[in-house]
Amino acid sequence: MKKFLTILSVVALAIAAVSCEKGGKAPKTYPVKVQLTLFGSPFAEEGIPVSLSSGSASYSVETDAEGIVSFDVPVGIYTATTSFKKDDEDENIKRVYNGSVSITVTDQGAEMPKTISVDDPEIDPEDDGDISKPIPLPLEASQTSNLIIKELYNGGCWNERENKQYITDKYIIIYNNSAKEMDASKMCIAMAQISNTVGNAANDYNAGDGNQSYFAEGWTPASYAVWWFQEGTSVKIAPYSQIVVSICGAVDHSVTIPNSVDLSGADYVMYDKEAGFNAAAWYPAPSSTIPSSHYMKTSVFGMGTSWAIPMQNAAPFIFEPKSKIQDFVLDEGNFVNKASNKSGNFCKIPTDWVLDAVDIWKDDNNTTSFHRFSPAINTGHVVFAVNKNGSTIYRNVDKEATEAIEGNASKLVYNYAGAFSEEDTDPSGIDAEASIANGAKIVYMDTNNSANDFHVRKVASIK
Amino acid sequence: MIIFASGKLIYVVYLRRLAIILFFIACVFQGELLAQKHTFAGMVTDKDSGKPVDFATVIIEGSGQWAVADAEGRFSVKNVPASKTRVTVSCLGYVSWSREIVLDKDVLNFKVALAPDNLSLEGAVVTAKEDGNSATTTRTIDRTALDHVQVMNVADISGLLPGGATVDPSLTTEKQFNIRAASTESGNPSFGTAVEVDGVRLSNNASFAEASTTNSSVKGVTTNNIASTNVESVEVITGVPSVEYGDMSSGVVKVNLKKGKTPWMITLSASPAIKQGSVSKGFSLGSGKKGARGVMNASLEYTQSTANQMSPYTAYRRGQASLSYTNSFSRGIFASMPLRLSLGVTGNIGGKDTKADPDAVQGTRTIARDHAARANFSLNWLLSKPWITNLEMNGSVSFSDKSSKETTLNSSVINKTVLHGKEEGFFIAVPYSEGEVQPVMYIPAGHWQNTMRCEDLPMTTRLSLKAGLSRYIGKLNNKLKIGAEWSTDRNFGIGAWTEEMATAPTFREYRYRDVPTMHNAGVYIEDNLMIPVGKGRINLIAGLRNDNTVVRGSAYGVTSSLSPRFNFKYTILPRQGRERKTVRELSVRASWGQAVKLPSFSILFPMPTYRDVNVFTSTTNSSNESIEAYHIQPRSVVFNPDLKWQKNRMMEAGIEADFAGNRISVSAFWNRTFNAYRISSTYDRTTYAYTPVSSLDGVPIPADNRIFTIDRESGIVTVSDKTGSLPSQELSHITYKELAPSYFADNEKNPIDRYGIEWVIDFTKIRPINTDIRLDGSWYCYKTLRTDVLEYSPTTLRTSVDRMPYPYIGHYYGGDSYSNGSETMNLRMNLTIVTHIPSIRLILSAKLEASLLKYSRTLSETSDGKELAQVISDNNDILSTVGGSIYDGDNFVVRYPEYYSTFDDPTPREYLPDLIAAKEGGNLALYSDLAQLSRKSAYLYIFKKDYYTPFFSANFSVTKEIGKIASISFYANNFFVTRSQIRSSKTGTYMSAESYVPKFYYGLTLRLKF
Repeated sequence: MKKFLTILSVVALAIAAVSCEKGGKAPKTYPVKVQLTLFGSPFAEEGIPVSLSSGSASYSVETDAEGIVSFDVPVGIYTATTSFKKDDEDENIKRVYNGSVSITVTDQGAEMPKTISVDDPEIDPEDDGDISKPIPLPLEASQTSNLIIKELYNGGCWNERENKQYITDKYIIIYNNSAKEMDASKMCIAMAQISNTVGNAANDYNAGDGNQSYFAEGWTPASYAVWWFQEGTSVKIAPYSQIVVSICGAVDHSVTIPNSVDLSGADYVMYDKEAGFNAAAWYPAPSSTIPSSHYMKTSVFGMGTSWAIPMQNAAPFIFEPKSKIQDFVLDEGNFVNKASNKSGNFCKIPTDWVLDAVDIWKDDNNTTSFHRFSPAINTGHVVFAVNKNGSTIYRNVDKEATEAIEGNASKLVYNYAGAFSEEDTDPSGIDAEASIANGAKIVYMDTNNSANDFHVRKVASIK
Repeated sequence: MIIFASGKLIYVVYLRRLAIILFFIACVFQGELLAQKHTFAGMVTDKDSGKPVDFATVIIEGSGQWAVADAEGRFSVKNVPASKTRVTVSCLGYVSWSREIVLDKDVLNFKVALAPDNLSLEGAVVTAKEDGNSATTTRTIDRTALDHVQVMNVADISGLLPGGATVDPSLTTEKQFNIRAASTESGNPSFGTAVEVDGVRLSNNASFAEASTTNSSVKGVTTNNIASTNVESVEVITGVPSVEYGDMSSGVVKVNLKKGKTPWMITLSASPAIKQGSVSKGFSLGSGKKGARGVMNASLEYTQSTANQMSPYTAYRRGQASLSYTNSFSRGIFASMPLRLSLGVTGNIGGKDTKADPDAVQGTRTIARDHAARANFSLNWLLSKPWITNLEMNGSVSFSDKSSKETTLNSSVINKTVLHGKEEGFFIAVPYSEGEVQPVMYIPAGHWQNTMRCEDLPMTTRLSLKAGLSRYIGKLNNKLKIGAEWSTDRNFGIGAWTEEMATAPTFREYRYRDVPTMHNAGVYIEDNLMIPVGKGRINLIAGLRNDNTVVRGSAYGVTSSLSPRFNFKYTILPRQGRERKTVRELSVRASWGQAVKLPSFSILFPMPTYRDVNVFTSTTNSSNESIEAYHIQPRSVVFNPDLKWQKNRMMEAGIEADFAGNRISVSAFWNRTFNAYRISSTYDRTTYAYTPVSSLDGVPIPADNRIFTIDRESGIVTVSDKTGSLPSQELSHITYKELAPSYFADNEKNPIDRYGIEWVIDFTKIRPINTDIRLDGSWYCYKTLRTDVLEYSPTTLRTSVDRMPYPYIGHYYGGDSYSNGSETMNLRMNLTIVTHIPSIRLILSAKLEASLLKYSRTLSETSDGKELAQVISDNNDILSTVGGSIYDGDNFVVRYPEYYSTFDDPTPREYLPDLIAAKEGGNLALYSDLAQLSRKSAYLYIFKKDYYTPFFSANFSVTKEIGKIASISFYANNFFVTRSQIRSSKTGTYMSAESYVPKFYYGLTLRLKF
């Protein structure tokens, strides 16, 4: 053993010596300028952080008054990214800007870089190599709302007695992510349940470039039905508070199925038998504790007697219509395929009505799946590979904003261990539910990127 | 007897034809009296040992007379008319002997040496054999072929017919015969195929197992419970069969079981998912003072077929015992008029069972019995009188037990409502109380186990009497057959039941045994005339059958149907004497006939259906209990005065030829099915009180103290206080007007066409390598086009604005789909290479199966070709119709109903003008609702022609006899394990050929004979 350690030490020293031999000279760097642009024009805002990263190396600089950042970096392939929020005129809405561009810095022996090329079509080829001009970083503008989807419990759990899955215990939580009371009375809930499998003949919208053709047309498909709160029912959500909406089965499931949840205390329930959603297993009569005014109403324009949303590929979104939703769903012009009761029927919800959306994929494979929401609503996706085990899609905490709230410091609980996978956990490390129970106010992440904003939680938050 | 008023004229025409036939027969009969009679006697011996072959059957085909050899191998047929006739001698275990002889004097010492049947002989056939003497297409698959390909289910022999495709040899799926048809086609082809086992007609006329209230297809009998090792041969009549066969519309399959004296025979067979063992022995009962005591044949078989070859649990099992007895009496009073008696009894215990499957959820089990008991007798009395040649009486009974038992685990997070009521009314759910079955009950929340049973015991009995008269007038041979047949179908089962009523799911008692017996009395007459013409002969067969179906206690009463059939065959050049010529044999034939298939109980007595409307649901209380109320309405129409019996018109023409030893057989056929059975629906208008859950708003009684009651007549729900402290209160309701479908037995109004050509070419044997090559194939076309106006209403929908039940009914020419029919065309070809080396008793065969053309297309048109669907330019706008044919290129299409009616006004209105007016007038609600009646294609390629690229598979079989006591067979299906890609021209996509060719599979059988 001693002999082995001796040899190991010698080898380690030798490696260190060799490593140091070339380490004295710092690598040559080259200046790189990046200019933020929006719709092709310079976005001249000062103080916006832009990062340039390559592998593990990352540099971050804030923009000057012209919206330009400058880096000195060695040869390599880099990605310049930025993500920031700005308040909108509408106080309930925040604008979110995301941008990303790939930059290649090369050196062919000369002291000055010979070329700086970028892969963005906005770059004029004649500019290639002209380092005096900054490289554009196009921004994608989207908006966030104070009303967000905090959680979607849709994957079911395991019915151990019958050795099969139990899936009729779904719910969604809508959260007020702001410091003021929000009125959600007009808010509607829908799903963009078009097939997101590449090559699926049922999807007529795959533009082939990773986009759906309806992105450019400014609408988002709502599948099968749209749910809204009853007229006259005031749905107010207190600051940093939530409402639990039972998607099906507002009863206590856990009595019979111990792995399931108790939804008898749900605040609202999607229950509208008269509209045609009357499948007995999906729609048991809601608990008596839920007033009938809290039953959400719907208009069914798809197939079947239940709002059957896929357990792994769900794409829920919430929106606030600019006109009366009951009239909107009556107009044939707002539909794709409404005539004939088929699975491909969609209500075309204007994208600028959408408050929040989550794109959920069953696997992280860009070659077989594609996104269903316009980048104006959401980019990225959260992967939900394991269902039927009681796990749930849960929102990450905005650490910076949460910690900034006065009085939170003593109430926040860290070392979150509730994620299904340690590799894909909430990076904030804050245990939101424990903190809320402790009296903390939580601000959830809302970057309009499901990959950043969500993770898979082991158990439902209301369990 | 008159069937129906419009059929009166047809009936008169038939009667005239019958009279002409009878007159013709009378003339023949008169002329025959002058013919001379001789005795034909001799001895049958074993060619190898020289020992007598007792129980060998000698048949004089011209006169239909016969004899059975006695213990010394001797036989004698008296009063044989002077003639040139074919004599056939056969016995189980021997190769049949057949020769044409001239009987112009007494022949008293005719010697026939029968060769034992084994592979040391030339001429073993392992494919389907064409019956060259038949006037219609008939093929026989004998034991050698069955052994060689190791058939486990007799339905699998379809793969041996021209162009046939090998099917996977599993018994866990139910299989039926589909002759000149595909199982997925309209017109109930398998239901129309008659299957007989030793004269016992297998029928599911009385079975409810196949019954379905909404599925229009009625399936035929399954053949899984026929012991394959006990089958001696299978005869398949695909052409126009004799009128002797009634209650069929798509061909006849006759399964002949082993009979007679045989050595001990033991079969052991194994393949990855099937294990089989059998033993059989045919033995003589010796002789007594009155002659031979007959011969008994006993057979036992056990077969187990597992659903998954990696799991031995879920399996179909078949345990079968058969006993047959045959004897002939030719002494004493039977000396000149011998009588032959055959008796057979078969019992089968089996079915599918998931017992002991550790992969299944504990506590669940499904058993589907397939027990059967079959018995038959046959008396054939050779009278040889001038006015009657023989008299045959057959009787059979076939009893099946297709009962099932299913144990399930169930759960519900709140109490679960179940319905058992059969009477109309409003009922509130109540908990089960011992012995009291209420119309609507509930099972408390939680988990429970329940076992449901269904007793299904169909029985078919049959008794027939047939008289035959064979005569000669000079060289002209005439055979007259007159027969009568009586059959009954009934079911002794009690249908669905359970011992665990407290946890039973929704079901209604329907006792099968209360359904009346269906009787059918058939009479027929058939004349078979053989006229020598030059070197050849003409064979004319004309027959007429009349079936009278009686269902006592049913509104259908007595129904009569006629089935005329004609066959013509002209043997231009008979084989005899032309062995060295180029054209060694040539004959042509043509047939025409009609056949009637009696309805099954599932058509005559459709299972009652009920419309159960949930009219009230209370909120769920703290005990997880929600009380529901239902409006129950019986919904079946049990009698359709317009129901007709399904009929098939068959036409066939064929040619058989032998060119320099290459035998060619070609048949062209055209079958047209009329009045195919189906279940149709119509819409009734119902009004009921619906109590929404919001009516509980403001009810002061705490949820846990509420007791609900409902008025059976009015549907008014009342809530009262369990504690009595608060007053009862009637809940407010909404009146719903709703369309409700009712189902009834019906007929397709349009004919269904099937036509095609089948061919078999057996090339001259390549003697140096002992090899035969057969090329067979079929070109098959099918077309159906629904042309009657059918109603459809999407009753689960609600109206757009007021959210009331959908009130519109669409009236569609050809049904409510964008298409109303389809056509298919298939070209299949099989190449079979058989090498038989008698000296080493080895037979090898390789079969290449090819699908050269597989075509289909969806149709939307009237019977005169006018297109029904229309091309639209915008997939989202059903009114964006543009010109052009739906069949040209890629198009989205829309199909409008021709008319629509409403709940309030049943008078049909034109659909399209109202739809356009609603849109143009801005009535979005009406437009949105009416638009639901339009049917739109989901894909661009719906009406494109769909051609599949060719695909192939190859099978290999080998049989080797080891001495005289053992033989081994091995087969490998799809041994190249075809995984090629098939392209569909319709979708432009590729798919694996695995779904279209048999899976790679193999099996081994060892047979011992001693």
